Amino acid sequence: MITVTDNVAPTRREAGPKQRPGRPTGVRRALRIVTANQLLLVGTIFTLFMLLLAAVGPIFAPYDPTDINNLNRLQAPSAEHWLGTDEFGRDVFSRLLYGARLSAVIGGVTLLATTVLGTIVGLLAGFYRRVDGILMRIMDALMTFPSLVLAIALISVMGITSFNVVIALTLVFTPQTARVVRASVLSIRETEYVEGALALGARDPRVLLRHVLPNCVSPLIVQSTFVMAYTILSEAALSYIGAGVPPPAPSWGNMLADSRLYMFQAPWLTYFPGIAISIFVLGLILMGDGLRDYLDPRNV
Amino acid sequence: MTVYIARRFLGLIPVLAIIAVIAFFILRVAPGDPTAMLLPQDASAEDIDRLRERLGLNRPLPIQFFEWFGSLVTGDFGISFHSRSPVLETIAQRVTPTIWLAVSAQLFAILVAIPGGIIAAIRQNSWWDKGVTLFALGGVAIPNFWFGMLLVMLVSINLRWLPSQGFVDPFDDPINGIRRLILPTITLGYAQAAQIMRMTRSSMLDVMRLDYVRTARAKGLQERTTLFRHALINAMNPIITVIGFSVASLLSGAIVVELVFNYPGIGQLVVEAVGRRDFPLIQGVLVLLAAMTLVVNFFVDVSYSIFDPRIRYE
Repeated sequence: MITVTDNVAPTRREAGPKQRPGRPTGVRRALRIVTANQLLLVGTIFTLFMLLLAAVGPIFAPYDPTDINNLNRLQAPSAEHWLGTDEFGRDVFSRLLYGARLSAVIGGVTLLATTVLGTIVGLLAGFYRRVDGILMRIMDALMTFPSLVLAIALISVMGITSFNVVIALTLVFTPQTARVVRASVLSIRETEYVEGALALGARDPRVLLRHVLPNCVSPLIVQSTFVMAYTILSEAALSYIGAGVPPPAPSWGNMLADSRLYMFQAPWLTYFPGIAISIFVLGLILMGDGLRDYLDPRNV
Repeated sequence: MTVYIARRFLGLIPVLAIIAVIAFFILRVAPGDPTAMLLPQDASAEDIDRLRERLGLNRPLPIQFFEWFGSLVTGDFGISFHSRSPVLETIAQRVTPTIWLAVSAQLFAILVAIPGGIIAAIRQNSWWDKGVTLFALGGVAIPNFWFGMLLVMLVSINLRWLPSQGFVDPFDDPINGIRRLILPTITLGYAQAAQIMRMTRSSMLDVMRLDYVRTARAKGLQERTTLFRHALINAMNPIITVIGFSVASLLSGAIVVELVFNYPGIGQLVVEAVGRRDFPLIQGVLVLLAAMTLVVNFFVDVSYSIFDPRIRYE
């Protein structure tokens, strides 16, 4: 049974002094941290499983995910088609495997883009009071829009492509990352080592990159797991609405959108893509929760 | 208190202005021409020019913006490209179902989440706690539209208990109206409940470790008094923050859930409007939804000072 803890982690059985998080310390140490924290363990297993599917799954896919075969329409799961076939006779299992890759790539690229943009905005806003007000008001304004509505509007004028989905989701999720980074920078700015570096004559970019940024890494890692989780959910919702990855690409959201007409005849079309999304997102969220517990200074 | 509220209120104005700027320019970053959606394929260049002039699209962007923004300030949201009727009127016709859905889902979420989170916190690591935590994780990880589809399959198709389509105003026909509202409310409310529940639990756990709670217990107060008068009140601010922040995700979720249940609200309006490149209508919806979030968060800010009077004097 999973013992889930939000901010309090009385169950952690880590011996030894706590080291600075974010330093490369070898696979064995990473393994020990992960196994000592059940949340992190379950989350990491789920996430790695889905990432593995995304990486190698398509190699093992028994059929071409876009191969139309009208003789095989809406077949229930069988030995030949493990998860059945859809209304065009396409193999659901193969589509699911390719869908994992689509979700992982869109989630990963969006994650990278939001992290870079959010870090830049957060560092500048936290370090320079002069730009703080205007930058954060813009971030506040972006956050007041319901994210999906903003994304739909943006994608529909720019054109419905996977690339534009990434752009829209980056715009939607950057403000949160910027806020997280800014909050860390505000407290790091007041520390002696930053004061010391500035007093020694170090230039701002050096102080920001060498002294401030490395100390923002822990909250940034936690944030990035959540960004990826929400990106996968949002991409699925956008595809469902018809403003996501354009069909016939086998995105999980597209599969669910297509299944709407066959909920009565072929319920497996609805079950499996939803289960896949839920496992991927659950893994990422558990990982984020676990990392937050581990990195929380109150739990030392 | 009045000064505090007034200061907060003035702080809304620049954010509202930025919202208007974003809503206007985000639709114009792409080269796409909205007249293409309004005229037949074989329209002549003169026809296109004439339409562009009539819609004001031939003027420089900054001028278009200030004209639109100028009337926005006076409450005039402009005229829809497609239906030629005032944007505000079009939105008003579609907003009632969405408000019903959003309010009932948020109420459902709060009523489930706060008691659930409190029970999980006071019985930490018990089966209650594990159940609540699993429930909340499910709400965060399961896509709301998929959850809605599953509910439709189970409750409407297999059990035939409740209708799965459309909206009837509960003021006109209470029984039918409420029956049609139940499934969308649970669908949207589950994800909302999950967010609020997670925060309630962790905020209560944080507070219950503090010295004054131990003191309250040590001086022999009843557990109930300790929990509600000492712990919960001090745990409220993060919970309220999440409730406020969750309004944006509530409105986002409503858009998708409306499509699942074929529910004639703002969600369908947005999808129709973006399909037609109806810029004034999209801008209007964006500004109104953002303003709704902003106003709720303004009340959240003000309510902090009710639970924590120190905030007023900062």
